Amino acid sequence: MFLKLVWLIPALPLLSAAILGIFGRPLRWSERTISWIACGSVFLSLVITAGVFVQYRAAHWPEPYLTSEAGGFPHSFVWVPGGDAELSLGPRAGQRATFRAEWSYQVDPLSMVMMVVVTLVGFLIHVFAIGYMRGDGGFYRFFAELNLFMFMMLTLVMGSNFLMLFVGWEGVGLCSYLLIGYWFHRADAKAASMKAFIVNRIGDFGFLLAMIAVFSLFGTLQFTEVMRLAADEAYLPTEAFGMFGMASWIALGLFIGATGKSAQIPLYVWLPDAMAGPTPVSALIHAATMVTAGVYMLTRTNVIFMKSPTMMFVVAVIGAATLILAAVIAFAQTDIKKVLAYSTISQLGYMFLACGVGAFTAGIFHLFTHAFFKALLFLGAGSIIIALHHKQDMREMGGLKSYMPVTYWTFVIAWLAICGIFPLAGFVSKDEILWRAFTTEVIPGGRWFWFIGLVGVALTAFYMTRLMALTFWGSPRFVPSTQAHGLSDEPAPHEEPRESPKVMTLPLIALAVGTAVAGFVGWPPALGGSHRFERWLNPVLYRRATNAEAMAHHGATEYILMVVSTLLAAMVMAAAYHLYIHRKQTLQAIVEAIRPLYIASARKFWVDEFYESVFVRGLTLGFSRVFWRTDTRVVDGAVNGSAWFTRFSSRLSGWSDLFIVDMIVNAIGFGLRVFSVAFRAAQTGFTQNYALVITFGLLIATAAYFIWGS
Amino acid sequence: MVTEAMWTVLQQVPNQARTWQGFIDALLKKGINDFILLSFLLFAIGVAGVLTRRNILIIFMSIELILNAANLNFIAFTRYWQMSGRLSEHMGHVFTIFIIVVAAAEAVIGLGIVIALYRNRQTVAIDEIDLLKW
Amino acid sequence: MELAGTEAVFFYILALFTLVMAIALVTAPTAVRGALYLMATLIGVAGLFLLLHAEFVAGAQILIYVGGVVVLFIFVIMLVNIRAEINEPFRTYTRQRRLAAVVVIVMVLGVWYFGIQQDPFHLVRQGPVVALIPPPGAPPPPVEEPTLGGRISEDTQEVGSVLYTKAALPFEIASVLLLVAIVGSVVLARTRRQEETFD
Repeated sequence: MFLKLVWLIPALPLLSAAILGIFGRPLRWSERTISWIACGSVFLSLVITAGVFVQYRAAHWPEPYLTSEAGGFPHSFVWVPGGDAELSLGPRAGQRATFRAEWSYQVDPLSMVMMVVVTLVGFLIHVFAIGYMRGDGGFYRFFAELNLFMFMMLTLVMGSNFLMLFVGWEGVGLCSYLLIGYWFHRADAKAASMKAFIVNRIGDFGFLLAMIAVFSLFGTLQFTEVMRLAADEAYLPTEAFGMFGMASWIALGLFIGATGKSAQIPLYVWLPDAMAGPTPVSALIHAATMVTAGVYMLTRTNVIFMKSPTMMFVVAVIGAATLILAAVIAFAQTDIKKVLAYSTISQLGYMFLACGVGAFTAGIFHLFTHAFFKALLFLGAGSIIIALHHKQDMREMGGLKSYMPVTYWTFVIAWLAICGIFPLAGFVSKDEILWRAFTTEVIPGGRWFWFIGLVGVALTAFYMTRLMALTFWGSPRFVPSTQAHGLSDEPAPHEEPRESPKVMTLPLIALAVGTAVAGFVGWPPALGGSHRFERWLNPVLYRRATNAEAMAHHGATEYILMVVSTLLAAMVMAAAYHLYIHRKQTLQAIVEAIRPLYIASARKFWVDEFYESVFVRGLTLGFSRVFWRTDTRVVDGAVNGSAWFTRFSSRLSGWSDLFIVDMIVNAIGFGLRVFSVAFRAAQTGFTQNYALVITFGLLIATAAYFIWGS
Repeated sequence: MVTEAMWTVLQQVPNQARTWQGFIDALLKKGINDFILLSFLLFAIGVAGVLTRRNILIIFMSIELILNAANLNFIAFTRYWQMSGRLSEHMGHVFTIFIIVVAAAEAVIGLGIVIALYRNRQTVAIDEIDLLKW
Repeated sequence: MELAGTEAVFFYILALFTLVMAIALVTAPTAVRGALYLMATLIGVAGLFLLLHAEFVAGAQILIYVGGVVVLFIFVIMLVNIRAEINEPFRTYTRQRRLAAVVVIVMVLGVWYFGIQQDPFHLVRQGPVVALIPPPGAPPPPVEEPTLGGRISEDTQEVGSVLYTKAALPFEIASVLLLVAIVGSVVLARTRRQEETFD
């Protein structure tokens, strides 16, 4: 029954978005009505998703359930009935294929995971947003856009072909743009939204090219078809490491798209700026769901990626580089949301690292757990920001532990999870990635990637502990509000921050529970689990790990690696706690000692400035300078040379002019004057006369054709 | 003149239509040539309008008339070729659509010129705009 | 191609209507009435399109011409003051009207003579009945299903498929043309002061 309702999962948020967007303002609905509509639609989607999950698991797994098989509107319909096109790549080059894209949904293990994440986390964040956005003038607009985002994201993960994925891809980009620029009267929000949009466009360009290549190669955009054909060794041969063939080019295009959407080097710069949007938006779009779309796409097209070890290596390198760079930048940020944004980039780097070493399940699993704990971190940050009346600077926080107990304890769970402390979600998924990197056979250099991941663990533990220390521990540094509000015209705030209302804390608690238990979904066999998550995702993967293989891997090495990473994280956490709470002087000394590095981190390694100067200014200015040089040297020289030549030749021609040309000209002029008498009469200046002559000529020509032509 | 025209009509009809009933039948069968004649008459009326009217706006309308005559021809011939099996696509329709587009663009520009002209010369009579002579 | 029975009657009605309205257009005393006659003429031609099973073009004709161009005409008539035409009713036609009339009449008679008597294209002699016989080697004409049962015409779909496959390039060029027309009309219709301000 629920499988027949699959189409409702994205449709309900869309309906709600339309209702809120159209009627929200003219009918002056109360915030209560708007919240019921917005959250109710997402909740219904969540319920249907749960039902679909149960039914799919019981009846269809491991085969995908495609709504196109059921047929008929509204279940699915032919969306773009195209004409014939000639394939230009691969073994079928020159053959004709009909371009046909349908609007149908695909429920398979991968999209099921994504649907659960999107609807569950999305619902909790919707509830949280009721409290966060209370009293905002654009309440209806916020929820309409948030619901639209849910629709687009669900289209992205549920679409059965590349074109639907692309529509969702662009749609979430649009909603991201709208929601980052939600407070459009703020200049930074405006700039950030445009930056996000433009940077994403660069990635989308790559994705679009890859999609065109996919159609030119396979003649279809349907995932099941493409993956079936791509798995065929004769159709898309596996490339050796270092080769860059067909599969690599397609994978490159897809990966460029993924770096844009998932904020990887070199296109990560938009994500920190995107924190200008409201915090629920940061939690939903820029932490839990949208930015993971790149990982989803890589896993969806894992067949193509697995055929190209070169691109897998590139993916792993980019992922590793991103996770280190973002973590280092997070060290010195003072804005609480910026720290979390760089943390998100870093964790996305982990996911890409997992994809790059061929452990797509580990990447998706980290996506799954990360959605919980990062959403929890962001919502906790949102709770703090509300309590401190929209102050985000961590230097003005501290000691919030006693004021906001619920926020504090949920935040602690998320903190432990992201640092990878046993047995929380982050520990399981991160160790899975590290272990798979250590043992990878897809690309060379697995142990180096493991080492980078381990360094990343230490860095993560440090900056997250710093975040905890600066916000919750220590002594309060926020200015007592009674003195501060003298200048502002806001109503007098309460003297001290207090815990957020239930509507905000309940989602925090729910997410904290999720963070605590999400890891058990994919509990590793080394600890007595059964790789349930990996077995669940196996049907969508190209190179499947058999159960025996997975079980055989673990041994003493795995336990050692686990202990190493956990101990490392714990030690770094302890050290950071010590430094920030008890040894401030030591901390100061360290910062003084590595001052250049500290400044570089605080200034984000000048990447924004670099892009600004190289791409925005540099290329434009450089080109103009080149053109200027050309102008002065080449063009001016030619002009001057020709001037000299002109002077020379003019003297010559002056003579000939006077004696030869003038005579001819005068003769012609005289002749013309004689002739022109008749023609001048014809030149009446009366337009219709000319038209009459044209008609007459037409008449003559037609008559001539009739008489002699045939 | 009239009898001659009648004779012409009679000559057009096939032999079996020489009876009165056949004449009626022939009158009730309209083919491509009727459309060509109609479109030619529309064209001639349009040309007459362009050549004789003073008002520049009416001239524009007459031009639209001429374009429509061409459209009618295109559509009629497309139908004709399709029914006799020598053409399978709606090519003439596409031409017609482009003609409509071009006519719209032409009307926009032309009327823009009319407005500019009226602003400068305070007239829309075409024979008062005769600066373009020797 | 053949219109028989009711369709032929409709052809007569529409053709007569179109011609009468066209003549009324070129003899209209004022531009406003001319615009209204133009509208009637265009609707008549759209009806003829329908007779020829060109539903999409008929719709486009009514939407773009009647809905767009004629309205534009009326707007311009409103903007320019043409009271002169009402004040001087005897100067409706130009001074070359007699010459022009002669040329047009000669043209009509010439086509009447050459086009029908001489029949250079062999259209008339073949006649409507003979023209139905396909040339040797041509595929048989498609059998038309009866249309009274409410069969939905696929005309639009076919026009669309031709427009987006064979005529894709002209289609793009047409869009550029429209853009240029927009810009051009804006530039043309500026007032003096606007020109001075922005140039």
